[in-house]
Amino acid sequence: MEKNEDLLVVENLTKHFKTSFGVVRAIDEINFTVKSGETFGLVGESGSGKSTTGYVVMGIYTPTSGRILFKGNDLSMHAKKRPKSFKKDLAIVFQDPASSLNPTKTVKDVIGQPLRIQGLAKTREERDKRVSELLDAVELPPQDFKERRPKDLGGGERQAVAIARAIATNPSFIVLDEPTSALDVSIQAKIMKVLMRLQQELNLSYLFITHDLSLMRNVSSRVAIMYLAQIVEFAPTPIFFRNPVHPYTQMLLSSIPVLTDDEEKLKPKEITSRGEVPSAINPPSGCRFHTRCPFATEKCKTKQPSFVTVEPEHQVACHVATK
Amino acid sequence: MEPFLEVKNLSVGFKTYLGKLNVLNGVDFTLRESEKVGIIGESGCGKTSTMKAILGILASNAVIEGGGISFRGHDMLKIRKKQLNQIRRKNLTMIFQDPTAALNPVFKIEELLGDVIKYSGDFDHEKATKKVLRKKSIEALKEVSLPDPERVLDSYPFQLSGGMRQRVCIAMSLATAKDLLIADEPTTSLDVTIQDQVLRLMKDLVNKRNLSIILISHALGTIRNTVDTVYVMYAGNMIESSETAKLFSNPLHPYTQGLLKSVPKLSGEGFSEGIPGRIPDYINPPPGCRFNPRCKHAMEICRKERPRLLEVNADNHKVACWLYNKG
Repeated sequence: MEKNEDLLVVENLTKHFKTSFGVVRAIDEINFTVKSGETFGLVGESGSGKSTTGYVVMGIYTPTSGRILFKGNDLSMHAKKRPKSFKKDLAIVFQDPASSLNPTKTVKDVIGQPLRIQGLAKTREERDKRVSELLDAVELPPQDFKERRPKDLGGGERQAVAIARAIATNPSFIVLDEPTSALDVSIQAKIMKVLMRLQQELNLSYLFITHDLSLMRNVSSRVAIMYLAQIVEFAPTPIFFRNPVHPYTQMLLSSIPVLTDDEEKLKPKEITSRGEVPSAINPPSGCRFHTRCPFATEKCKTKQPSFVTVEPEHQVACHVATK
Repeated sequence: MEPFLEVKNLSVGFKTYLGKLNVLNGVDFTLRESEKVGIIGESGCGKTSTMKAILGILASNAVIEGGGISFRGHDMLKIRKKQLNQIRRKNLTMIFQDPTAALNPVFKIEELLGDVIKYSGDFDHEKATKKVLRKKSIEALKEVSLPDPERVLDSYPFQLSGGMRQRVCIAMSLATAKDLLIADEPTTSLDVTIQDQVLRLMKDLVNKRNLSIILISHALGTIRNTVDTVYVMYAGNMIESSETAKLFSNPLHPYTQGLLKSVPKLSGEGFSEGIPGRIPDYINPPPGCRFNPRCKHAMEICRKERPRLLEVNADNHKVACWLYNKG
């Protein structure tokens, strides 16, 4: 697939969960596109629906409504019902490598499993060779790591194994669900380097999910901000940090604790954080952010804003900022 | 001003079935009146163990192997239980990382907070009626900007959000704190917009009451915005300490330099290499400087002798590294 073609198109995607407290609206009619070879960043706080989006794309959950198009094919169903050829093409790296790796298996088995299931390495020797290649690719010396078990590895090493497993089947698209939030910063830097090198070498597209905007700034080409199951702002990364428009985006940016004065200058000054995220069972009417927004008007309480293009490729859903 | 809390050359080990973990390896640390100190370091470096040693709440397999802790003239390692409780009740309080685990789930907030106030020693607890306690509790909750304190008091912890629970914990700590508040990663489990609110609130209250605070965090930005002095910890040692601004603009220890470079910047400068390797095994820690296996400047002496935390400039910037402690 050529660079910059639409690889993944998500249209009006909705996922609701029925619980004993009521229907949790985890994602409500979101639209976005991931282009071939890019890193698309999805940022939001806990409960905003960013991980659910990743899971629905992977087919871990069945969407309630809406469509997922991958390379032009409709994948709006559970992974079990998807054609096998597409399972190979999509992979995921989870947040916590301690619970995403089977503790009873060796590193060799963990990475070899997708190869076996997909029939990519017929014999044991072939599989062994491929596992070594994959461990090399994530900068773990194969002879030292093959026979070890997850409990004997450090957090960064575990996540490297999870990445090796994800790229085992030569996917073109990987969902990275907060891949470094369980790691220390010095380890995070190393894992991010590996991920970015692999993207170049293997022409991978990433859906990068995180709550860390500073991390996002250094990784993604385009960013979408999610608040309470909906996307509120889209922009290419440099524009996004230069000109954040939505009040929630500004609040998010102004809340980040930073290390240098240069960064301090990038933070919006006119808004400070207040209030808490409302329940996803009974989301506020109109614009969902109006309960915390200092600029909210009567209109915001009743009418849901639609996307307005404020500059090329930069779209915002806000009544006030785009008036 | 004389420091009122002094930790000197503190060494603590933990007995496990695998062998003894030599975690704290001669920690030095002082705190003056109304000083705000931050401790940074990655997971497993001994930040929390140091604080638990100060409060005397180390796990039962902990062995104090050397050094001392003095607080307002009391030797905290030899102090009698009754007196220690009195100090903990009045002078020292701690806010823990996870407010969900810190609040007993089977009691309502009214009972949890009421008990703290009742036994704070501010008044005769036998005469404290429910009504008085409730009034005091409401005041305490108002102070931490919790909306609708009446409803909060009648709630169980699980009925509150993470941010609200942490505010309740802060209210509980501040209800009795007279001297020192130890905040152990108080905002790690919170979202960034809530974290910002909780930190601002904590800062305001600490300033208003003129308390000292020890803020522990692995989030470097949080520390930078809150404290006057920063200590950097690595593998059970204090390896650098300085005034906050200086530490962030001119880090000296190779570990601090690597750590600061590893943090992704909002200004978008890409990623550094990080720091190779990982935190050492505490059963057989490397001899000499514990950072030497990961340090690109490691010399002969680094593998033999442990560097002490010594002043390098006249401006109270201390570092424990042989690159600077030559003479």
